[in-house]
Amino acid sequence: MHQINDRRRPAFFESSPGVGTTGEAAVIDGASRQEGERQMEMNRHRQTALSADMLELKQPILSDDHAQRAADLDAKIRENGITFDRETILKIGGELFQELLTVDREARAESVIGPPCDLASFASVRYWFTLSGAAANLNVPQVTTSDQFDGSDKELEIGRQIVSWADEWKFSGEPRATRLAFDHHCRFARLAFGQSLYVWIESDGRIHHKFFAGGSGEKVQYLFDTWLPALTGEFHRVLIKDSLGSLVFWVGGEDSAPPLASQLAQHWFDCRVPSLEQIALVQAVWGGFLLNLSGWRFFNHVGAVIRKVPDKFTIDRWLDELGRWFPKVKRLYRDSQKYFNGAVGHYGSCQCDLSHHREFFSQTWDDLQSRVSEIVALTVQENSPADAAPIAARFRDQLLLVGEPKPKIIERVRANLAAAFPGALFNLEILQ
Amino acid sequence: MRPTLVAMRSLQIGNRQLRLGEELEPFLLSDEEINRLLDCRDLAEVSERASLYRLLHHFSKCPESERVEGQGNYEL
Repeated sequence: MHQINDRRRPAFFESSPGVGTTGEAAVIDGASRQEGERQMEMNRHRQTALSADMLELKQPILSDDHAQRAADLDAKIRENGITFDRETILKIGGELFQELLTVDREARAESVIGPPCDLASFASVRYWFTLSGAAANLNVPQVTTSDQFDGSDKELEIGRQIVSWADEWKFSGEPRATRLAFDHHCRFARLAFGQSLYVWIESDGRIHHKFFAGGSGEKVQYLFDTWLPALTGEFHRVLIKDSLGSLVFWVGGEDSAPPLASQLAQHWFDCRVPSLEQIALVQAVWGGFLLNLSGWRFFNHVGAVIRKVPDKFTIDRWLDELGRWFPKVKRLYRDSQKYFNGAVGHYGSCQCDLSHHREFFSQTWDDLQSRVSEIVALTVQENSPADAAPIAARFRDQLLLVGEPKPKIIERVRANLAAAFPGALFNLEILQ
Repeated sequence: MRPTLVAMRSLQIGNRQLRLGEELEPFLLSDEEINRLLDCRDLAEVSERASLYRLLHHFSKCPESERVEGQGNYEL
């Protein structure tokens, strides 16, 4: 009979009566196998019991025909089109093109950017920066054994990725060449967008395109604004400011209004009039908090927005503060994680599939922001004469409206938004 | 992608001053003059670089046009 004599075993195992015989070991093996199977069964049950489909988030109260009315309105916006002046586009484009050539000349004075480098292509720029060694040292630390051990290496690898212009700020060498290459890219992108506007103008002087009925993202924020002076007629804009903040707070159950970026900047920088750079940094941190980003993913997000290397310690501290000030937002994301559990390894243990979790919420916020924009657009349409075409463009965070702003339109929009999103606090502004 | 004409040193062509690496407008000179500058190594044909004049032909007034991969990302 073999006696277990292993000093590394915990004391309670040694003191268990009767343990140590071959027959009893078999009984224990059997019992632990049964326990393992029971745990696996429990986890399987847990996985099947909770899934993303079962997550019930607060939903807006919409009329039954809302989707149809919104689709009809978008079709009407496309059909009416938006008027641009060809000559003004060519004039603005000609001036911007000369500025692009100047930046191109300045950039090519840098030794990193050789004559064959194509500044319109990120792959080419990356190749030339790598060739000169400027891309060898990144502003994101290398993965260490310690990172691999504690599992943060994957996040860090994401932080070190350089796949598009959005990652160019990570080059630590040749800051002037990096700045000029990015400036060149921004100018080129604006011109390419303007040229496509010019090409899309039809014989009636209008552009009929789906972009003007639900467009979003960088094209609206950075590219379209350049060409606003080429619009013909009188326009004003209704801005839905920080709609993501309003929606996250509403779904999470935060009663307060989302803070303004300027307020946060005043607090964190301890000043009365924060600079535009300070406000941009704070907005990036705020956006990362609303999207539940953390670690190197958060660092990546902030860096891509401000185009600089943020101080990781400071932005992490601010993120923690936001989490303490608005705990319901943190709780919303934390409590919903159990709906995204997936099996890990061979022993039936469960872990949240964070990428699925992020995708789900990203889609949710996109959908809700679209609903907000649709309600604002429908309200404007309802308060206009039947034959009028007051909406030139409906973007996700702003509306471009024809003519002078109507009195009390903001109040009506607020009332309709309050009916659809009870308790939500939206920040609307008219810009002429 | 058609080759782009690039100055390989600082040079003056009429009123146009070109620096090293700068692109020559595709429509500025005749083929004969271009060939002569290429033979003198004043210009080089670079096939891996797209011509800004051709990419943004509506704004540069260039009679030729071309597109590059990824340009659609910045278009309607």
